[in-house]
Amino acid sequence: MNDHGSACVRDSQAFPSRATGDAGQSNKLRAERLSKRYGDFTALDELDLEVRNGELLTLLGASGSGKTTLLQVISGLVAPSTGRLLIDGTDITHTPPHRRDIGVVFQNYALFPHLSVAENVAFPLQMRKLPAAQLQKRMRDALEMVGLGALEKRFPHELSGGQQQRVALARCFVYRPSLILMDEPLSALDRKLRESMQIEIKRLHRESGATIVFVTHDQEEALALSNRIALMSEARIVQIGTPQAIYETPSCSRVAEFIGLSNLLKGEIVEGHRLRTSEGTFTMPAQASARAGSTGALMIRPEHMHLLPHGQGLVQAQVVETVYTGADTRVLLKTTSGMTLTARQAAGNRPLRVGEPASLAWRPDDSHFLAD
Amino acid sequence: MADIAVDSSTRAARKGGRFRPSALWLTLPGALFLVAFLLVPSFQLLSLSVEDRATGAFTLDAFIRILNGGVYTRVLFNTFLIALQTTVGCLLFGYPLAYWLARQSQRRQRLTMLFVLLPFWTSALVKNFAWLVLLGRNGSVSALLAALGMEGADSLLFNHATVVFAMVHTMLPLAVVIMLPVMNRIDANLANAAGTLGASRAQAFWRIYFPLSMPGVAAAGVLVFIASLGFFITPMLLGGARETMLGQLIIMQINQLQNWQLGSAIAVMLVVTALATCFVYDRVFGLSAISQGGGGMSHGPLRRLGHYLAGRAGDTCATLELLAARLFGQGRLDWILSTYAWLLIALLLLPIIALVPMAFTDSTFLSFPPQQYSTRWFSEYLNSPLWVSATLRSFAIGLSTALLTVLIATLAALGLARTQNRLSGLVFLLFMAPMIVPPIVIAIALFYLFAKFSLVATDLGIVIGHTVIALPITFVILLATFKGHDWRLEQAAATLGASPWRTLLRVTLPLVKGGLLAGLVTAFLQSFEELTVAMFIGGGMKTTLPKQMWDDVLLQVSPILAAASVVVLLIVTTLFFILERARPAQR
Ligand SMILES: Nc1ncnc2c1ncn2[C@@H]1O[C@H](COP(=O)(O)OP(=O)(O)O)[C@@H](O)[C@H]1O
Ligand SMILES: [Mg+2]
Repeated sequence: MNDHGSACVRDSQAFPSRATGDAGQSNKLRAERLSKRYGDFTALDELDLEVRNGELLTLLGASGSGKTTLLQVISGLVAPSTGRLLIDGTDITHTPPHRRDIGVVFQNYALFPHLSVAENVAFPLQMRKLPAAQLQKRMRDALEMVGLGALEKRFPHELSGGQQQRVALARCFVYRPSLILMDEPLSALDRKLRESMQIEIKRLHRESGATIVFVTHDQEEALALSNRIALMSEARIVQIGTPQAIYETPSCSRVAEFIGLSNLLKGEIVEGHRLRTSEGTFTMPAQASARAGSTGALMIRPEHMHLLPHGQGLVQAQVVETVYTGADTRVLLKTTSGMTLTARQAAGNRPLRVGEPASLAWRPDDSHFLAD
Repeated sequence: MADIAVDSSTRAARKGGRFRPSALWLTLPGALFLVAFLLVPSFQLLSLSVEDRATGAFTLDAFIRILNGGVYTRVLFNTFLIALQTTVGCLLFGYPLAYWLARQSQRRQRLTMLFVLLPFWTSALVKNFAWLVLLGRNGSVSALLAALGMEGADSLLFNHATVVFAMVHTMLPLAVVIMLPVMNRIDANLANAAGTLGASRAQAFWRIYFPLSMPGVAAAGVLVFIASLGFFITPMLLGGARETMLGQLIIMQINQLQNWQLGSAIAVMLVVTALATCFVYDRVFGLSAISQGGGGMSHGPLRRLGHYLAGRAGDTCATLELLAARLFGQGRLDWILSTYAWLLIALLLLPIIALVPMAFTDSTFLSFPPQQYSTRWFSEYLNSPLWVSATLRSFAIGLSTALLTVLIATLAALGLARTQNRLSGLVFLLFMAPMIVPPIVIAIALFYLFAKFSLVATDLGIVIGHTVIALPITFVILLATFKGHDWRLEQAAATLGASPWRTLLRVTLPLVKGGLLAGLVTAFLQSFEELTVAMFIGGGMKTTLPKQMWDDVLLQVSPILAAASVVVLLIVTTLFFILERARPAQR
């Protein structure tokens, strides 16, 4: 399984080169060949990562891919088995958590239940022995920043989930750590609240100038928030890049499947820069470089799939399901050979019925070739 | 959904539709039982204590005698002192053990807890009897200390320190058993969070972990203190005249002098002290913390003081921690804690394990270790009609108690688990009340009541007394079982076409049978090892095994007693392992 993973990594073009001389200056955090083993199990596998100063980087990956472990190693709560960790160029691999000056927002907030909102937010300042007057002011400012000024006397169990989340954010931003780690901070909130908190976090990020590493398993959240996304799979980072780069040019079919609904047509390259698949032989995108005889998959996003009347397009199929989402309709079709493909039909078109025959087409340059 | 179902049933009853009685009615049999056999006799004691023995007129004579500065006052003071010292000792020595246990993985904790629960379930009588031999003039501890050149190694028994030591030893498992669940509920992530926010390990402990564990500490303190107040086994076996406690005075006044007025007055003072302790606890933490653990949080100046002290402790220890880490290294500190825990566990187990070789002695007096081994005392035990009949009676009484207790407790727990009523809190308190009244008070109160109904020296009388005493713990176990039960499953079974009867047999019972079995075993063990009630109500005729052992230990310490103790240990251990199997896997 890990062989597959390394194939993904090798193909990645988006990985920053380690040789670029002065790039170290703009890196907030640098992990070098970081590994974590629990007995026989490898939770982190020789992982390299560079986080740039001031960026918001999301770690995106399925549950169990090692995201939490990576954050725990960065925050010092778990010691790595091997590898080095540098912040601002200083080796902190063996520094205990309370001297790293890293902020962490935990998945279930980890608010102290016996302390009031004000006391929770003041806690990190007390640990830093701030004078009382300054402490009060910083604490109030932080609570104002997240819009909770009126609730400072309440206890965590007297707050809603969204309010608890804000307290956790205030407690983290109040001592102005230059690096903040967030482990799925929004996963317990309902969709609407989650979207408003995403905007809140973007604002806090901009205003504080902090570097943020944000963990999520929700690709929409990653696409919405990040300056860059690092895709994790099986204890490794398989691709890192801007949301656009990850979405439009995934490095392998696994990334493509994870980052959104994609149609993948697997096959073998034949003469004339074409790919022969079970659904027919299709023209490859012009910029794809692959030799005849090699194998791979053609990826076509649903929004690039055009629905045409039966008989006209590249692939003939039958509608098996339609899912109305408001902005558009997702149409699931089954090809004659039994494969399921997805297309998006913009609002305003004639609705399709289940069972209706149709055909699909796409422009070759809207497709993306992923070599095996 | 469960709430909806319960809600609509009560609403339907109120609207006068098809009448469906509130589930709270199920608590009625237990409530009546406790009113008849706990509240009424307790109030009888209260009235006895203020009634002139000759004329029946109201008088505070007995209380004046207790408080007038004479010998009774000294015993009163002594009792409070010993109970307080025992409580402080249990918390001080038990806290690190509970803390260590709470940090184990779930599987390891369950295994290690066996070593704490075994002494927990072993009766005070057996443990203190073992100390009597071990610490005796010719005991091995004396020999060891004498060999080390210690002064007074041959007079370890019959002094204040030994009584407090043995009482701490007896009560410590109780303290740990109460503190541990509260500590287990503390989210491990909170300490991590404190760490990333800049707190050192010591600061995270004092500012976060310690305050959150306080409700458990306080609950343990209250229960240990109350249990210690009425204690008489340890001071009677291991103490001298100067270590006399109120419990012994009660026994003397009632059993030997038949002075009910003074005996009741002492009992009333015990209960009032226990209630006052509970009241203070309630004001600070809320009584709910006993049942739910951790919930209660205090407010006001006390809370601020607590936080201030915890903060200072944190700062101090943070400095010490730096020093210690520099001296020993971080890992070494953990090592010290687990060494301490294992040593304490060894000490808890020591008298229990030492009993086994003692029972196999060949000689006519007890010693540890014995010179020659034989099984002669076991044959003696089995051939003695007195011992065998006492053992059989204890079995029968234990079984009856278990069945009666579980029946009452199941109904009550069902009723309470399925209703949210203003009365619920009151009912809960009533079922917890036998825990707050020292067993010795329950025993003499029932003795007085039963004397009027010729229930003294009957098995039924003992069963009733044991049921009163066993009810709280059994009730708590069953309440937890039924509260943890997902009642939507019954609704699901009904919608799937099962009749109520088949639902009960196929869905409910299989899911709660672990809790029921745990309740049965717990109630049986409580009865099987109970001494006080058996002592007063059993009279001379109906001797239970603990009563027989008690009479024997006061008369002469013979190896047959060790053999009997080993039999008790064997039975308790067997049942204890059954209990462990019955316990559901989750914490
Ligand atoms: N303390 C631990 N002991 C053993 N295995 C662990 C431990 N912590 C995490 N793991 C394993 O490491 C893998 C990655 O876990 P985690 O980092 O929590 O993943 P994610 O946060 O991406 O869901 C999981 O398979 C998990 O079971
Ligand atoms: Mg995780």
